[in-house]
Amino acid sequence: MNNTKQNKNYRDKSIVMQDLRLGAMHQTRISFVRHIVRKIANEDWNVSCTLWDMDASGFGTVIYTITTDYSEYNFVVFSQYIEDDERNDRVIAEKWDVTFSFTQGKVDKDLLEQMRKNVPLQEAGRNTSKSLVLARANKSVRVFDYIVDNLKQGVQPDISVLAECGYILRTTAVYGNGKFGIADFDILKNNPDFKDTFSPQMCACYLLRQFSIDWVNHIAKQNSDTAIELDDSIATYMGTGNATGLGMAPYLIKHPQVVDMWLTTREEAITRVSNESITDKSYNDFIAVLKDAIQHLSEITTIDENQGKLNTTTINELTNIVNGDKPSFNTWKDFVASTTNLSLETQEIILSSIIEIYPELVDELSSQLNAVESLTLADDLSIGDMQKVLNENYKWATEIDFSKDENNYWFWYRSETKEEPRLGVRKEEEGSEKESPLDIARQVNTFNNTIKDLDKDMQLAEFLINNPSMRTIARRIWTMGNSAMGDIQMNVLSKNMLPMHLLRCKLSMFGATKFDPRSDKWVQVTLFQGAPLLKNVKDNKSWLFPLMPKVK
Amino acid sequence: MRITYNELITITDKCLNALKFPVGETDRIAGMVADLELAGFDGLKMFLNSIKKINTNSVDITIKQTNDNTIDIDLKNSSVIFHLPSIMYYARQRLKYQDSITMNITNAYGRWLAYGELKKIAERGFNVHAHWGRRKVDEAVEYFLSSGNKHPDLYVSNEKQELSILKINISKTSFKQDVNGRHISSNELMEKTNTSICDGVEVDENIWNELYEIAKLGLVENSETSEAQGAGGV
Repeated sequence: MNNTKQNKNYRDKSIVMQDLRLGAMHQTRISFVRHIVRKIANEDWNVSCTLWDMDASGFGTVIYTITTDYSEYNFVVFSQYIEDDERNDRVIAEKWDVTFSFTQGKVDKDLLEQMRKNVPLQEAGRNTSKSLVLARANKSVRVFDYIVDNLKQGVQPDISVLAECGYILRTTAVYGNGKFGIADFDILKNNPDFKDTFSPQMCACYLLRQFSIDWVNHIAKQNSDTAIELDDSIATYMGTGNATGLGMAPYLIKHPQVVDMWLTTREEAITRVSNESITDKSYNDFIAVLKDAIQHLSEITTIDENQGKLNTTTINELTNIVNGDKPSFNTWKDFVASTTNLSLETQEIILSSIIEIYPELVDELSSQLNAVESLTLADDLSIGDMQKVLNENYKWATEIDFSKDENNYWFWYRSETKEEPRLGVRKEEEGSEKESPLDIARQVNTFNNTIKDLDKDMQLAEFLINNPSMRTIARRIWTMGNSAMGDIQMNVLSKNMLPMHLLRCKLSMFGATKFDPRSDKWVQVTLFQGAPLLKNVKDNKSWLFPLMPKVK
Repeated sequence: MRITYNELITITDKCLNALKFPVGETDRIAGMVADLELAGFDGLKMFLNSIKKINTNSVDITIKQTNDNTIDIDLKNSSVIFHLPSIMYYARQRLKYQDSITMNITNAYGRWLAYGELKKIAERGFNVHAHWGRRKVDEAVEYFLSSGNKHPDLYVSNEKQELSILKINISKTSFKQDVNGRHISSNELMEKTNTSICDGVEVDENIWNELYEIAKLGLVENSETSEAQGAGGV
């Protein structure tokens, strides 16, 4: 699939692309983490630890080697001592507990030395095009120390303590696609192992989770003769943490065709399962997934009051469904239509749960998420054609009154401190003249005001040659207006705008669980929590909603 | 220093966002710069010259249709990167009703940077023959690209150039490559481009640093409030 096509069976884009709904999304079977684990299992990738050069404190170098039918890859980890006050999840950090690279091909002595000098520097280093991913992670110090102390004493850690966090290591940036000298994504287009979007990054995060488990086992054993290894069920419950901030939001605005492809493919999955009949078996399977969702939401903790309330509402609404009678609807489409009065979080969990029970209908879609990015104009367009597409697809932008301060409240910019993406209040802070061009709603609004009274028959080419500054937004309006899902329907300058909605949309496509907002602007999540361990990667058990294990 | 395709795109994007010209499409310009650099020519250097020379007070261009098949365009000492996508779109509309069109683009800087944008018109089923030169080095370039092909054939000679003209012929029928000069074949350009994508491209560190300094103009000074507003992560 290249550019998406509109499909009358999909939900309307005004529903799907609404910011509040995007901010309630959950993992599905087509999320990237699910795709990579299935791929490793189905294609029998061999993964082994080929270097473990680490001292008793857990500082040193580790390599895991993946061998596939096509190639060899190496996941190279460097861990180092850092002071507590150097541990920072923001882009402005300069040291991390663990840095790593995921590299195609063999890693010889020279390459390893080159990596040792550069990977720990992250943005300040230079890397080779053999490297597919460059990333770093910090410990959850409390969980790390707690697990190691318990294992050293020969006892398993209390799962309820671990559940508060759900990971040992938390990534703070996972770079791919040509950043800091590493391989461009284009290099991978013919690579059958990693041609799918974000698959090298997800594979690296999955291997990092394995490393984090091996790491605590190693340190415990090195420091105690009576140490035991972390129980498999507990290890399975520990994922890779991730701290995500504002930097993810501009990505979604700057890559509308990527977002459109993701959401359209998800909509295709929803359409396929919605047409299925509700049988006794499928309904029981669905209820079983909802029970997992209820348990999952009951077990997770969040410091965010609003997210806590949303979780409680969702638990109550899902419990009503689980305790109710099987509805008399023929298809899931009818069932979904009956749930639109429920909270958005509940609606989204219902959709993820229905998708979950039809692997044979949806799993193939997870390899159809790559987008071709090219905003274009069709031939022979008139001003009338543009007026029509605006009227049919962009009312969410054209109806905003940008003369009001509240609709122009924020400006997005990059700071001179490591180019960290930030938000400023336009009328209070310096720097709005350097605003990043993420103001899509405002640009659409301006374009609409400029052309709305022009002659419908005027050629667009003629207009643009005299108004060249409007070509970029004209291309976006035409391309995205004619795409299945189109642009995210959100004014990112609005005072009421919450970046969290954008972060959640992207993270749920990645396959994140346990959303724990730490403010309006950054969130902690886990990836691969509940996923099978490498040694059990073929375990087919659902991990849509990770559940706390019952440890003896 | 060796940089990747993505870094080429990113530095161009950052410079343009910093300078905030009232004309030009960031993504298309970045594509033109990267296409030329990947093919082994001086994309970044010509981009740097282009952004230094643009007159931000005058971004208008003049278009005059001299007859059915010819359009004269005066860029008024601006670079082709800021206007070529608009011009090519304009030309495409004309080609709905005629078999060929010739564009004489005068007073245009950065003529080499047309290299990548011309490929887009071939993707749409047209044949392209373009001609441009560089007076300073007495260099003339003939560019041929047949419909559907991804890489052009170039013929580079040492002919003296009269004016800063970029001449572009677009036709539904193919052009005969009956010209003199050192032939750089489409195969050579394809191989060079593919190698550049795989291994990165070597760029002049001075030019890179100069562009990096321009890009920094788009960054906002740090402050306590600013630091508090930020949020890290990916």
